[in-house]
Amino acid sequence: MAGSARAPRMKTALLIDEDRMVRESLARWLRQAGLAVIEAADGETGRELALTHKPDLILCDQLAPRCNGFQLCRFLRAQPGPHSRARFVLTGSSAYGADRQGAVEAGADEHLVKPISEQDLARLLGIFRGEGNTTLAALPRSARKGPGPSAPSGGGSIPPGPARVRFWGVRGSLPTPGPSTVHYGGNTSCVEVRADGQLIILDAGTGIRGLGLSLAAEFKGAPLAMTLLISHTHWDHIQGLPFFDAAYNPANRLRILGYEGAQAGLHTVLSSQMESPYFPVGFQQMPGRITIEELKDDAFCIGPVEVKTIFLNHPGVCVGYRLNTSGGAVAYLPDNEPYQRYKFHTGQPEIAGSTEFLRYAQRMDERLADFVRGAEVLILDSQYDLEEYQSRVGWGHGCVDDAVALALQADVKRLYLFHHDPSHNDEKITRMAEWGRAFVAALHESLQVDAAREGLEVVLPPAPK
Amino acid sequence: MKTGLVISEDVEFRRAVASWLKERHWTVLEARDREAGLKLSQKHPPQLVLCDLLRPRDHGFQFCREMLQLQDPANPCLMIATGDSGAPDHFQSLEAGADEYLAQPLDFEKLSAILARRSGPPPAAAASGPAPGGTRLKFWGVRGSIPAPGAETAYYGGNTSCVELRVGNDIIILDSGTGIRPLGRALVAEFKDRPIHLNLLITHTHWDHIQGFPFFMPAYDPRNRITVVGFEGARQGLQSTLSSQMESPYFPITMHQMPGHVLIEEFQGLDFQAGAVPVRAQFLNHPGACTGYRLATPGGDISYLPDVELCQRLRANPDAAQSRLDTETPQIAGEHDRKIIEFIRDSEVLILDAQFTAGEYQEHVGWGHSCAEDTVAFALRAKVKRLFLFHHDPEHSDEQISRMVARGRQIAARHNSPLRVEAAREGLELVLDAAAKRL
Repeated sequence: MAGSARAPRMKTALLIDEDRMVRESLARWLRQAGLAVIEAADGETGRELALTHKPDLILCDQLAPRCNGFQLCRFLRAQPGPHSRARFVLTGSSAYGADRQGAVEAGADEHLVKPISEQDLARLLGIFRGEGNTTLAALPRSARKGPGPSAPSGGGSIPPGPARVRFWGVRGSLPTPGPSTVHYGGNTSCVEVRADGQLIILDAGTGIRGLGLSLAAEFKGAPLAMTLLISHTHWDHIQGLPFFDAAYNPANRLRILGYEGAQAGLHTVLSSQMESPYFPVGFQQMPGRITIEELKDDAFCIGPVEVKTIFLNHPGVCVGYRLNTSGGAVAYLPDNEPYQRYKFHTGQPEIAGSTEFLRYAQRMDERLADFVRGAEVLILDSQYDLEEYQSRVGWGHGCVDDAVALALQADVKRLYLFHHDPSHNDEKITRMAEWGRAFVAALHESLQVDAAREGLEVVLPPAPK
Repeated sequence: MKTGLVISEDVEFRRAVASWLKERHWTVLEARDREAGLKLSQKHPPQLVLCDLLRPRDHGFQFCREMLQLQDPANPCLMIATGDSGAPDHFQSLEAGADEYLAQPLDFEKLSAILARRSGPPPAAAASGPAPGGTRLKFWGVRGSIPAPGAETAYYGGNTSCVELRVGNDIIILDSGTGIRPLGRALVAEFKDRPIHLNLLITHTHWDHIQGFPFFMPAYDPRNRITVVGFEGARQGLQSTLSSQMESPYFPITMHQMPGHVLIEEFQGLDFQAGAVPVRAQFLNHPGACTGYRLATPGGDISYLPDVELCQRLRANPDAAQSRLDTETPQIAGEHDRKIIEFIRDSEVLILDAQFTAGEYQEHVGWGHSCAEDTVAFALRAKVKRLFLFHHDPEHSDEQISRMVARGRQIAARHNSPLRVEAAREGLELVLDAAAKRL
């Protein structure tokens, strides 16, 4: 799209962000700059407003609920008429390179990291008013099936019993076989939860292969209904799916739920890993009855189990899940970099220490604490120790100290350190768990800290009468 | 007169073995420990060593290694280790250089069978000590399909395909499954501040052959130069297939953002050079476009065919005949297999797909993999010297793999062949020098 010699006047701005405080300050500055401002707290409302009001400028949170910013940008760029020309600014909480790249590919003009200062905004408006059009041509939008149901429920064929959690894969980044990882295990993320008649699987890293073999042995081919919740589509969370035995049994029903990613829909991303350059069996060729549903709501049910989701601080679109079972809550946040520590380390020196900057990060972390509050079991990213974290700021992972701090703050009962680094051997992971326990003991708290271990089963207390 | 050396702390054991050997016209020497054994073997080079690992445990393994170094390659000796029936001793003694392993208490019928089998052709010469500027080969990933971590795979290893080859100053890597992650760390530790230049040969782009590349440390150092070599796939070019695995839905860093110089070259012809090493490629029967490589090194030719389904077996299967290959005649299948045999003929080292047993193969017809029985048969027909079973199935435990090796050795012995059958194992390193090749 060629830039016009004269930049069009900007009259209306649309602000989309769940966070009211973010909207308020941005709206004030935009009005001072002479723009009319309309606001939405979620992406879906934002999309309606964009279609009816045809704003000249859109500022949208990349992780807006119900329709994320990447998604909305792609949608608008594919529309005929003025929507494809509006200035689109995606806002995010972290300066991950992959997010910026995702914004560019979705067709955004700019990607800003929150909190956005008045100067940042003024500079951006200046660029939009004065200089040539920087908008990239809209990328072709892949065809997508209709939106998934918001309250999926899976038929259960699980024998009754107390709710329980079993770890099948606990490793982050890449499977790590070898004698030095035999105790905690080298398979990537996969956790099985059985509760209230439901079989719920959290992520499909290589651990799901062992789960599939075990289910086949246990149910001997009897039909199974399962729900697989995907936190995000980095390899270590999906690479086991082609080897999930239960998906090859035509009698089984597998519902896969997750969110549309920064770059493409969940269906596209999952089925691409089974295309012919990479895998000999296509996704469509798997005989099990498999459905993929893209989530919009941040709360839904799987049978009687209430599920809540939260966006995490990790490159791309990544969510955490909280399963409210009759035996207590299981919270699963496999990949997350705590905001406060991240902000403190990556901010520009002059503002990193500023109150406003850290307050914002603090609020983001409090949101997370509220999300996991009172959980019976918290499975949380603690890929590094504090020292290792220093050289891995912005990689999207947390350290054990922050994991323990969050669990303490949120009155969690049992914390499982998760997403172990491939370079950590069993001894190192044991030391990290001991470090976490020492931390808790020094504070005279009762939080139980363990490192997640392949094969470990956690039985939740029976439901209170 | 044949000389046998028996090493054990246990005098009863030594006596029992010695009298059994003497009855069979052996001269028998006895030693109670490793040092005495080494001294005796230098004075009177034995043709047979029977070493009891049970008591001086580590010294037994050490003895096997030292014997390997000391012995005259022209006059090799048969080394039999004995120990408890546990798998680790078994695997480790073979690794340390023993030719055979027998569990205690000793079954003399088994010993008799081994001697009968081994008395035919001389055992293949073992690799001798490192030769400067020689050829070295090291396995970093030997598993097929998907990495298989766990206690049951800790011995042979759970990482997917990756083999390192050093020829003079050339570093050649075959495939980049997850085994390339520890290889990358080892290279960085070895080279420290010196730049690394290497060639990475890709056989095909199924996950288990490329998934480790994003975790290959040398690709993150701007001083390093990595030339990735392969063929255009059935659906798209090598560049796009390799870089797609590092796109944002799947990985946070794109291939373009890797600071090292990563060059991707697609070959049209089947003959090319990797550094100074001449390489020949051969297309294989496996879904998509898959190649095998034969590398001509001063230590002998090394053939690497990690994924291939041998055609005649496929054809012979009634299910396959109806569906997948209904146009292919047995002659064409035979022709395909003959081409492979020509391609690997007389290789010093053959690394070949042996994912299944013959029994398992029946359930996996048309999956693009071979069974160990066929793998051994091909190596025999092609007069290969050393065969490494490769691309172990993720469901195979260490025990199953060692049973497949034993079965392979039986087949080789039945054919009176000097072929040495082993299973590829993570961390196993071969030193191939020009002298060993001539034997």
